[in-house]
Amino acid sequence: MTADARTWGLDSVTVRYGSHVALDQVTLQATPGEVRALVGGDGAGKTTALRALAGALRPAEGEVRAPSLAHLGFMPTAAGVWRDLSVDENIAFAGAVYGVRGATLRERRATLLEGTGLAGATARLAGALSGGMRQKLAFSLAMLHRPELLILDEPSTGVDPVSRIDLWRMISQAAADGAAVVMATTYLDEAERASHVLALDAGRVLIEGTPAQVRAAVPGHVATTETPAELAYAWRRGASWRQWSPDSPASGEAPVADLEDAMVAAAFAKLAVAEGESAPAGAPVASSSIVRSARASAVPRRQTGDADAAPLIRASAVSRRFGDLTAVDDVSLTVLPGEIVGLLGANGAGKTTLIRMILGLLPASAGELELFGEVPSRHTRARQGYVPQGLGLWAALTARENLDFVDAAFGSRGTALPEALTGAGGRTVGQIGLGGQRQLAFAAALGHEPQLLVLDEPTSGVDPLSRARLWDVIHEHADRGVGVLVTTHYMQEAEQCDRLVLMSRGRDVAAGSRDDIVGGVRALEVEVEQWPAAFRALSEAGLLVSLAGTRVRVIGASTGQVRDALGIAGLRGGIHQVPATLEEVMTARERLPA
Amino acid sequence: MKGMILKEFRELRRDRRTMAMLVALPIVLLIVFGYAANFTVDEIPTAVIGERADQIERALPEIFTVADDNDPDADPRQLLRDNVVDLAIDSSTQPPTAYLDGSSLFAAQSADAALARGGDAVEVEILFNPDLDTSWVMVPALIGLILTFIGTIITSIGLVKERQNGTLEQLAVMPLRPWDVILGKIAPYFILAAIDMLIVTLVGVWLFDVPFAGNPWLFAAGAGLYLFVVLGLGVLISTVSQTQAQAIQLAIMMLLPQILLSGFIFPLDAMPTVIAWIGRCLPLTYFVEMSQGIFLRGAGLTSLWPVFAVLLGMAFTVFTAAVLRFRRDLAPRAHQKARAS
Repeated sequence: MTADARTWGLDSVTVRYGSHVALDQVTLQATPGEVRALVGGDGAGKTTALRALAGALRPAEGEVRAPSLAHLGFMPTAAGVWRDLSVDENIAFAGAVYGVRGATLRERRATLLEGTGLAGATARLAGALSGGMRQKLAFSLAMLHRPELLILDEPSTGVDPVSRIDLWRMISQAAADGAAVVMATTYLDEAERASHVLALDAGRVLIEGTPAQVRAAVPGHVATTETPAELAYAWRRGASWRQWSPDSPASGEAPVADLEDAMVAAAFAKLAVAEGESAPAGAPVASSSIVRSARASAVPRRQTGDADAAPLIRASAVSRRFGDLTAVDDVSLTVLPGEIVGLLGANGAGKTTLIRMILGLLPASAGELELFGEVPSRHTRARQGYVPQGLGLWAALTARENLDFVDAAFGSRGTALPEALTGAGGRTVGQIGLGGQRQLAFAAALGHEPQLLVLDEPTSGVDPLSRARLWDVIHEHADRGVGVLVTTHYMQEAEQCDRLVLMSRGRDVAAGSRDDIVGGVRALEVEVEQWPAAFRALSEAGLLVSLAGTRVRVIGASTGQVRDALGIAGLRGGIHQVPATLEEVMTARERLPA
Repeated sequence: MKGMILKEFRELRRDRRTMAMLVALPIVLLIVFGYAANFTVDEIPTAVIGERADQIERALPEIFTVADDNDPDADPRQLLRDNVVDLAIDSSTQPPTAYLDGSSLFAAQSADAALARGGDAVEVEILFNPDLDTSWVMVPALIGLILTFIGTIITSIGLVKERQNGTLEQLAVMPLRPWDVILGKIAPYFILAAIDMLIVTLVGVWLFDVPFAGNPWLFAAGAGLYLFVVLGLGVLISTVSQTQAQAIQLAIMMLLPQILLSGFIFPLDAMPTVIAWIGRCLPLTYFVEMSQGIFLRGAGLTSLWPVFAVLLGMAFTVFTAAVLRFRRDLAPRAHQKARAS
């Protein structure tokens, strides 16, 4: 068996749509047993690259090396499941298509349903599943025939953290079983756990390598600071700032902390080059529309959560029942002026129901809810801004017309277009990219200077630089005393919040900073030569296993349990205690008996 | 391929609406067409007046039915204008004159043929549509059909689009009163449909030389009432549809019976009683009656008031139901309070 024969990938592949070059000389290797992450923003070419690899489109130039369709698994962005079929019928159909039948089908079905936690839902229609469960079903369909090459297009976008851990575990499992996995993702913490990262930008490879190589390859350096010197290249991470500068790091300075910072820095580096080419030397760099405006002064972060101030949201012991189901159970929550509160939880934890009650879209079954010290009414609505997950823009109207309508509804005046859309006010929302649409939705929600901002998954599917930009806007408003309530599935977004509230099964189970919530919870990291074998052994022992690079992580188990499970398989390796991630804490809460 | 076929059947089984259309529609169409598709009127309401009324009544062929409360002193033209009968025979002239209501096209044709078989025994005069021109009868009715089409489909699509895009929720969290949203949403469609109605009416009159005998304001009032009914139907459809495709499917299911049973293609008089009663439950039936009456016969409120009353009742019921259902999507709080009290 030669490695080459089983190495799939793209060789200098170029794809054009008409005159638009979607992919420009992209080379990508997919190695068996490895997970390769494709990162990049909207329009970077991730989907095109995956579709070319899957043989769904024919490139203009270059060579595609892929196994025959019978040995290839592809999961498209919009989860490829048949919504009018039950989970079982979906699997039966995929089995019939790929010729998986009899005992093999039964065995695969049992394994996949077990791993995805779908075993109890086999009779449910795929359309009635939650987003996370549907993605897991789609993954199961793509994996059913044990493909040699597994291609996943944003399998975890919009999926709750617990389902995402499940998915990641299954992806790791597929790699451990010898499949070559290529996946696109906008979650950089996920990319961080992949063995190899390929960052695409406007159809070209921006940076590639192992996560550590990518972090090291970022031009210039990133510093953490309280007061950024040059706002054009600065962005917020929670309470502090990051500052990129094109100079090489001084010796002894810490390298780029994570991929999130690395990708923002790489985007800035590219901008700096572009500005340097187009502008005469010495011209201000801040003229680029995507760079944050100089208008926003570096206000030092004010003391957040002024406890003496009257709360903007005060929910005490709020419950909401739908028939027999209690979606929100006795939840209390306050949001103070100038405070950013993050609402976390798996799908079905009750986040959306709580938000809908706060917005006045749903009455509470029990408990008290006050906005600005009043019972929610039409008048309190005039003081709140809301950006729903689906953005809530009128697609047939232009950007300007959307803002005009919102102005009319709120009685505000002349809300300005976001900077990225300057000069694009006459374009309809449908003609604006996803990033621009998000900025427009923010502008629409902020035009009437609300005192309270409610954001539902504000940056899902957005590239790192745009995400940094949107968070700058959120922080700016919080600095001016606006209270912000954010629901998020994105753990790096959770770090941007002053305070977090974790919901599980309708209840608020933990609150405080990220560290408060993680508390003393620890994960175990296993370092062994043959990680696939270790991964299999540990998951067969029924432990919650996931993969970080080539190390196997286990949560909710003792060192002894892990050592025993490895021992049965005849494996030995180092077992270290490490702090658990927020996602792991949430998974442990949902999956392990209390 | 077997897997593919199995999958398709399983999916179809779950799609109840499509299945209903696939199975129920052919049966309904067959029955309705079979019974309703009949141009021949075999019972023509007739009045006989003048001193020789009894004698003529006895001599009339079976197809003409004279009501028991036949008033020998009535004005034959007025009887036709008020749509009391389709044929009025005045026995005071020599030979007797038979006045036919040309706006009831098929009844008039049947009557004309039956009277012609009797030779020159009567003088036939066709009122309101002397040449028995089909387009004269069709154009006033078509206006209603076009309004139904535009009003129902366009309104339901416009609303469902808002729901599908999640912008309905956005409206609900803005400081707007539910009435602002509902009226603001429906008013443009009302205005557009009204303009449409005006254009169709003018073009119809001009292109097909259809006379407009009655009061235009009365017609405008009736058409306006009718618009409330169809827009309300559109809103109702949108509240029970999740996608635009569903809305269109439902709107078509509502349109089809109106086209077939409202009496403008097949005369209600020629249908079996049960089918005719279904026809009488449909709003378009009343629009057709109102429109043909005002256009051709120049009928006034004195004879059309029952039609207007039915349209008013329908408009009120449908529109109120639509607004209440729509309001429930917008202001759940008010709904909750209403239920608690």
